[in-house]
Amino acid sequence: MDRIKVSFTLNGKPCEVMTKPYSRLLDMLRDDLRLTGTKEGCSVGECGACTVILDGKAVTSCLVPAPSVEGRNVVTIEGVGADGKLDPIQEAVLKEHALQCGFCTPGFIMSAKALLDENPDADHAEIRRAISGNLCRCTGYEQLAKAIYEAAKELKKLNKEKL
Amino acid sequence: MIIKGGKIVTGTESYIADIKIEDGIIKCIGDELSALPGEEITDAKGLLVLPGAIDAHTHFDMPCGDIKTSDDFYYGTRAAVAGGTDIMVQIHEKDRRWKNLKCLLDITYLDRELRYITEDEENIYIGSLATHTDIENSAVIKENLLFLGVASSTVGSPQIRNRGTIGGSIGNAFPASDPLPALIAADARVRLLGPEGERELLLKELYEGKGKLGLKRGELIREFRIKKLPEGSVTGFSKLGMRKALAISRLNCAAALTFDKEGRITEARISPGCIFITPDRVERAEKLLTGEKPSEELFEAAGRAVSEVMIERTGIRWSTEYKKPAVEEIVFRALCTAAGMEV
Repeated sequence: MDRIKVSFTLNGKPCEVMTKPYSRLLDMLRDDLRLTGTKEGCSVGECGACTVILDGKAVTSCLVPAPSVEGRNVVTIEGVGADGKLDPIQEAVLKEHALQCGFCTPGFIMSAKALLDENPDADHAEIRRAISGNLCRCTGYEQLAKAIYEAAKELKKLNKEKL
Repeated sequence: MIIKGGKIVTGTESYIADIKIEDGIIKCIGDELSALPGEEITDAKGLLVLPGAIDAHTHFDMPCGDIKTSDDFYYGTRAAVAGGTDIMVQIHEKDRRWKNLKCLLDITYLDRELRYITEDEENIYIGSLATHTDIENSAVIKENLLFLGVASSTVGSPQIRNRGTIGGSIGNAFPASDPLPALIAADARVRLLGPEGERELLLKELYEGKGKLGLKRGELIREFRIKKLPEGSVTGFSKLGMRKALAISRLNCAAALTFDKEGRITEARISPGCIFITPDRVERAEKLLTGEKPSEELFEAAGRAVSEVMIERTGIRWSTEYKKPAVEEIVFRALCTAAGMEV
């Protein structure tokens, strides 16, 4: 089948890619763009490993038809952190030992980032709710919830310093 | 498993024989098949054994006297995506429903026209592309139809609520939909837009059978219109799922109560989800409450009335022993939540 062109903003930069018309956003990211940080777990929207941020909202990329992102804004785990530095969420995940095998980690970080971008003052309950669509099969959730809470504090501190 | 002694009916003949099934597949048909130790045997003597003849044969554009089959080649091979959180799973799992699918029309791009939640003095209007997250966070919904907001907040996960839409949820005709009971309890009307123009009907009337909607070919769900509940109304939603997040409802219930100044119930609306073939309110339970003051005993009686109606309509099944008390409790909790009583 002929490939079709999809133009969108990926991690802050314009991106044009030729993809199969029936690709999922997940396939386009991993197979066409070789951005393999986004993981395929269940393929049916249950595990959250393939979470990316689409127009500011966390979505599971296995449920988004690739051509549906035409003209839209997509952020993947590769777009988190800048200038060779990790994002405070990533730093906190390392510091709190919030991962073991790491397969679910990019998805958790994207859910956390979508939350903190929208609501920097998120409390514990809001954090747990924001990651309720992400499954972890080895470490569990306590360290992750704590890491995100710590990252929120750090982010607020950084923002104050900027001002 | 062996099904013994039934009359097997195929497309061409019928005869009495045993059927051996392993891992969900028919392995062998023959006379007097012997069972392995511990193998389940079902006696089908005197019964007919038929294959599940579901959607075995379709015609697109088939003339039949003066009329034609409703799906033609164009519409029969296309589906609209309004979010895609169900259809993308169905396609991935090779659901038979989409075996002829050639094209998906992504209507998510119509969000300027169809993604809104507004109100006037009498009504709430919800565009079909409003996401579950939109509904959960909407001040208009919180103020007027709290149970719909609460129901939407229990759909799937944050990722699914961000993408899934109310129009998609209804258009997919999923019987265990979370927002559906609240819409039915509130007598929501649905506006449809198709090649032949626009029409409006009660949402309840759109359902023709289990998982089947009376949408005409090429018709899109445009908007839900819900008359505001009278002054003094309160609402509640409760749900039974396997876990907190990402749980499809096993059972759910939406309830609304209107009180007079003396604290008596003047109007009750009870819509249990997942238990009827097509969604409905339960008048018998609603009538029990009218004119009464809320109490645990009263709400328990309403729960029993709902389970009675469930059994009358759908019969006693293998699951009834579990479902009956569960339905009664879910209805009880929805009513208690509405009335502000502790559950």
